[in-house]
Amino acid sequence: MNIANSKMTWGTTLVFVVCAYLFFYGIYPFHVCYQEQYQLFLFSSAYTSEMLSKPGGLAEYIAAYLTQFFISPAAGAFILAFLLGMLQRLVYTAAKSLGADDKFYPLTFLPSLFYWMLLCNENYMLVGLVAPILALALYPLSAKGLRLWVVYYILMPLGLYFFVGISCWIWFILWFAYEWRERQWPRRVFLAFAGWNLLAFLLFPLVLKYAGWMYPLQLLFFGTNFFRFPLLGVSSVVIVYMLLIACIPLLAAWLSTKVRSDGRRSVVFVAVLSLLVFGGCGYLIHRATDMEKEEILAYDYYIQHRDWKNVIELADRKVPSSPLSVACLNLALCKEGMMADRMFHYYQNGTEGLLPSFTKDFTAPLITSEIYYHIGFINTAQRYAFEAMECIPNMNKNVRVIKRLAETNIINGEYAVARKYLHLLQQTMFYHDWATETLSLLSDEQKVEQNEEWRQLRKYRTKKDFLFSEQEPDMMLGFVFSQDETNRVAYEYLMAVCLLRKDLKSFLQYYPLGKSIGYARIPESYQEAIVYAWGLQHKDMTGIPYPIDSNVLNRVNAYGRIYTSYANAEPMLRQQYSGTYWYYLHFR
Amino acid sequence: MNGIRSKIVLFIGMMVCLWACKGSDGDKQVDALPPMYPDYPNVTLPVNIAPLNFLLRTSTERVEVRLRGKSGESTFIGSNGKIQFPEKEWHALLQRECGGKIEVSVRAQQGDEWLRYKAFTWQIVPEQLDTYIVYRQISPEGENRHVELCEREVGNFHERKIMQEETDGVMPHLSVNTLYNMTDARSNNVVALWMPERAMTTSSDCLWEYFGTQSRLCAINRENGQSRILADTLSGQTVRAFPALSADGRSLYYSEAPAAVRDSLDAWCFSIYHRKFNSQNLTWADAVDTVYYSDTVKVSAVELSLSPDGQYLLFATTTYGLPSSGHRDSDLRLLHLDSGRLDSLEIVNTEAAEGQPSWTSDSHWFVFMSKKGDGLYGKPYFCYVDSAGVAHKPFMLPQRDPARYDYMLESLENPMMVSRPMKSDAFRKTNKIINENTEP
Repeated sequence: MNIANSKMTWGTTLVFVVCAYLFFYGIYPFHVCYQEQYQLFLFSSAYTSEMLSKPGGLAEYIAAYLTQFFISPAAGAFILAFLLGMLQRLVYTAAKSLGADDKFYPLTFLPSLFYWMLLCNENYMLVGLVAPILALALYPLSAKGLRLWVVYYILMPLGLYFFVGISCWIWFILWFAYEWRERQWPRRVFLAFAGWNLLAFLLFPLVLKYAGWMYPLQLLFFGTNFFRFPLLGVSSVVIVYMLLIACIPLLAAWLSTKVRSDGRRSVVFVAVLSLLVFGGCGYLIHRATDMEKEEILAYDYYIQHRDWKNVIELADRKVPSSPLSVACLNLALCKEGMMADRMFHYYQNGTEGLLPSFTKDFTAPLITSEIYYHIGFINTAQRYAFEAMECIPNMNKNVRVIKRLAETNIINGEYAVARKYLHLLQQTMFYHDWATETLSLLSDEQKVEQNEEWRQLRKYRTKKDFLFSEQEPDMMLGFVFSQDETNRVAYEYLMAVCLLRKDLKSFLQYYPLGKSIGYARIPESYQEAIVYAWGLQHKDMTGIPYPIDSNVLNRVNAYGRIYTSYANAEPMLRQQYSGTYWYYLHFR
Repeated sequence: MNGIRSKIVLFIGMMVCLWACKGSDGDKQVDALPPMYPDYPNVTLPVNIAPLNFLLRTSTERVEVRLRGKSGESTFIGSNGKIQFPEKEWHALLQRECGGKIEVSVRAQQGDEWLRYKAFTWQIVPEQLDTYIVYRQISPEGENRHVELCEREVGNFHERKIMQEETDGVMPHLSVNTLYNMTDARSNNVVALWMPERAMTTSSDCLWEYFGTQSRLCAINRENGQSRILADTLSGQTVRAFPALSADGRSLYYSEAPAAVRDSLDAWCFSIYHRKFNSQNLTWADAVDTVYYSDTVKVSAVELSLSPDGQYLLFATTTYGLPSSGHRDSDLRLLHLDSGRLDSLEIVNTEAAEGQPSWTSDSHWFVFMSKKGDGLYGKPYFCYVDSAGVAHKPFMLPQRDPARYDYMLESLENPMMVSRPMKSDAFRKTNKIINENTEP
């Protein structure tokens, strides 16, 4: 094996890119999609100038532009894989320019593998790849003619700082090493340039702060936000990543002068090094991969796209247990008309799995907002969506929220506000058509009414002022149901709240309200609750005033026998009755 | 022969009529004002205002605006339905036309056709706005709201952020004369009001505050750090807020309501009272004048602003309760203090919320927040009050890009005029004084 062969190095990079693509598309697609919604990229001069006028703005702008394509997991995965590969090749190019030997080629994968690992956390952003790539792409430009260099090195620090933010240090370290090695400058001139660069990178943030820029000095110094939490993102992890990019070429070049091996020993050396790099990083990526979060994001993605069947299929493959996943599943079951029959076939974790409590967060309220939206709490859905957007730590806007705000305002008849949001969406790439089509509807009330979802939710929404109380979901659901007694979703949520709270008294009190829903038969979990409540006050089921299926009657009798006969009946009941309300009532 | 001649005359007459209908230069005449945003037709402008850039809410390609005044005529061309006047030419024009009117004619190209809209006027008055407007930029809804305090020069489009929540740890809910400090648990919900800025360095500087629904007034002497809660026998049973102090520091106007009862918030209304005030020893007189009694009119009077010349008291009215920004029915009222006449400001108020008024230093202009248009996002408006005390049609703070309000997702609230640029450390000093002087 001739490791110096460029085909081999390109081949290795290609395999790396394919692996990265398969990972992000095959294993982590919902983390990819998640990124897309947490920004509002606008094709407008105001947006562009605002982005470009801050340190690292160009890198942030390019990253935000590319992140739009994450709406498709395949495109997003391709972009991530491509950029990871590009970063590796640029690190390799930098190492070669410093005289590194090809046998250290595996080392050049370290920065990409490291950021791949970081990307397993959904809060690390694409700009963490774009900014170093830009800095590295500008590095070879240093090999230019003498006359240009003077202007180049005077303007370079300013340009770099505004293009790539903190990544300008990568350029500086590599340039310094390159010039030190090549000695193509008189030492004094070289040191003067280096001193100017160093001073400029250190002083620019201070000058901007003094000039009244309203950013913390720390943020001005770092410019780009690799992490969604700007102040937390300026962490040792990011510094390690920066150092890896800047120092790997230096290390490879230095090792090339120290480690001399050829022929078979060289092959063995490369194999061992590759094993260490890819094996070690592969393990770290494996550790960093959070499949539980991926599952929650998958649920969120499907309910956002009203893909109820996929939610249920997902739950059938692996029963969800986190409150947010269960809440998504319950919504999907309800929208598919299966909640009243099947909700206890899945794990239930109380009312938190039905209507999760509000948290000051930028993700959870979005899911809760979806639930309230479909029940008919339009204003609550709007409020939760707005809160989620305002909680985004880097102060980005959320394109999904803007779309939801347009919808809620249309349903509420607030067309002026809806137009504002739709005009914004018209300036986006992937929401433009929807916004334009929706805008055209607003001038004709009949066309608005032709939208099935909006028409229905307009019927359901509350028309009177009331104080919303998250602590009293039954009262709230009762209130919204009283607006329109055909609102099956509100009714089933009301019943579900009673069942999950094990409040059979309220269940029986509210149950008759469901007459207007028009069930062909009493749903299974309601039958189970009714017979249980009846059994508490009667010796047998004779005279029960509801048409209960014989199967349910037989099962409750069998369940009762086991439950009363054994001190530790749970393992036995779990086998046959874990999907019943009785099991939830006794053992959850 | 006569018949033929008369037919020819008739034909020519018809052609002339048709031609006249098209406009003198082939334009199609539209018998309506241009569909412009912001709503700038027939407004009164100060001579130092930034260019009134606007856009047309139609699918327009080119726009031509002809401004005709006593000094001559200027034509400006815009594209994509937007007009952005060059600043230098604009200011020269306003200087030339000061004291007079400018006739504005708008032509718009739609496809191959040029539409000529009905002309309107801009009245230019010599009374200037103070140099800067300060406002808070805040999300219109939600519990977790990013807040920034911004300062904008009214003569151009230069805007800077004075303070933002994340960087300073201070919630600048209110601006310049009013601060809303969220950093200290003791002073949670404190709103402070400075005396007019020119008095800030004297020993009579005072600071006022209120505490949400258990609000009271408090005066602080900035020089010696002494503070005094302005109390009387009704304290504890009432909520006092929105103090407005006269420029000489001798008159104090404020809003007062009985202590709020949760179940009857919709009947909770503030009245306006007046007392004499001694800014040297921070005491107020026992005698109280009722200025505006809410029980009579069944509205709540809040957000008072006293003109520096002491002639006018501006305030917002809502059906009940506290600040106006959450009440769609909130309107402004102008009370002429010398005659007692109450102006309902019909030319100012709309179906959306209007409130948070504040006067300029010469008492000829006031700035206020209006949610006109979308009903949710506040924008600053300027209104001219002439020497006869008549309010003119207000206009919205102009922007370099007239579409800026369309894509802004923040509300611009609590506008206030100042004549000098603000220093951000002034706010920190203010907070320090508030924290040191407010009771736990």
